[in-house]
Amino acid sequence: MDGAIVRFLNAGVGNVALFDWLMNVLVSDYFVPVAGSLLLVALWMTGTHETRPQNQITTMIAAGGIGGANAITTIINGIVDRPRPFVDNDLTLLFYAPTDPSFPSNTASVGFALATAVFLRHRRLGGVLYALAFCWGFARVYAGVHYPTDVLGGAVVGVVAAFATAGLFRLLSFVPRYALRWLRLVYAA
Amino acid sequence: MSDFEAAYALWVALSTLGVAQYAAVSNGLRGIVILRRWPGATKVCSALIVIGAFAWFFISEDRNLPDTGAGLDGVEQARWFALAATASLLVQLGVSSIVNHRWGASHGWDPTEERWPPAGLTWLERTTFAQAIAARIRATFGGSR
Repeated sequence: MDGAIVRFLNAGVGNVALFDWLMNVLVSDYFVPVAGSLLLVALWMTGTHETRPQNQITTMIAAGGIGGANAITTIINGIVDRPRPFVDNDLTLLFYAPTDPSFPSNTASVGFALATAVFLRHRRLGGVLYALAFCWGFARVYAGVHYPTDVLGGAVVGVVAAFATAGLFRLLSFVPRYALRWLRLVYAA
Repeated sequence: MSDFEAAYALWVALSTLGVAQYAAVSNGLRGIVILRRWPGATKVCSALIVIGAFAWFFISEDRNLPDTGAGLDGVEQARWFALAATASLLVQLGVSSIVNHRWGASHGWDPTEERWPPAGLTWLERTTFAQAIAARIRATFGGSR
């Protein structure tokens, strides 16, 4: 089933040049991470004297969530050595051939961790980031470098990591508050 | 620094310039807006810089390079992003402090009445980064009294 979905989607590669180019940009290791990070830079500066600190804490949660998602993915990758779909299927690669294990998708975990962390505070912006994370995951399957369950697994890891980081920040709320107090003294927050 | 790292850093620095200027002008942080007198133009220019930087990075070359080869892995990408974005922000703070110096001098903080200058980004609605830091240093080391 997993392989059939990859083969079905990947069969579209080469049919519409513009769509392939769009997928080639989306599937990249750089587009979504940089776009997401730039949104965090904007979020850090957004708000009034009263609302800005909460936005800055959201930014910290997002950064922590991404780090956590990355760490969990690396640990699972070390345990579950699933080969990439292009190893067992005849696919047209729209991306370089990664050498690390396929499950769970690190890109999905990072994308969904970022989206979830922001969604907890800003529904609309979080929704945009969820859409970006979904497109990133879709592009990875279309390009033949992930199975859908890799993306699904990565999404679960990302959501769990973001919730765990948000919970940790709530538990240790004095740490970000203290950090912001110091950053405010040098006009960085 | 490889060509790819340089291109990545330039892309991030330019995009950060656009995003930060757009966010600053949209949130009234006039002390860090380089074109302070032209908020509308700042928004348009910022958006064009971001779109242009993304278009240049992805159209000029195929950027899907192996992260174990000429591309960047996650850690390298985070490092280059932090470096380029910080450099871009520092340049913006420096340039905006210079071009807004005269405007920022009337920031409304009187060291003879208040011991400490206001803290936080909010004060950059009324003064420049350099003047805010200078006031903080003066207050901390007692030179203002």
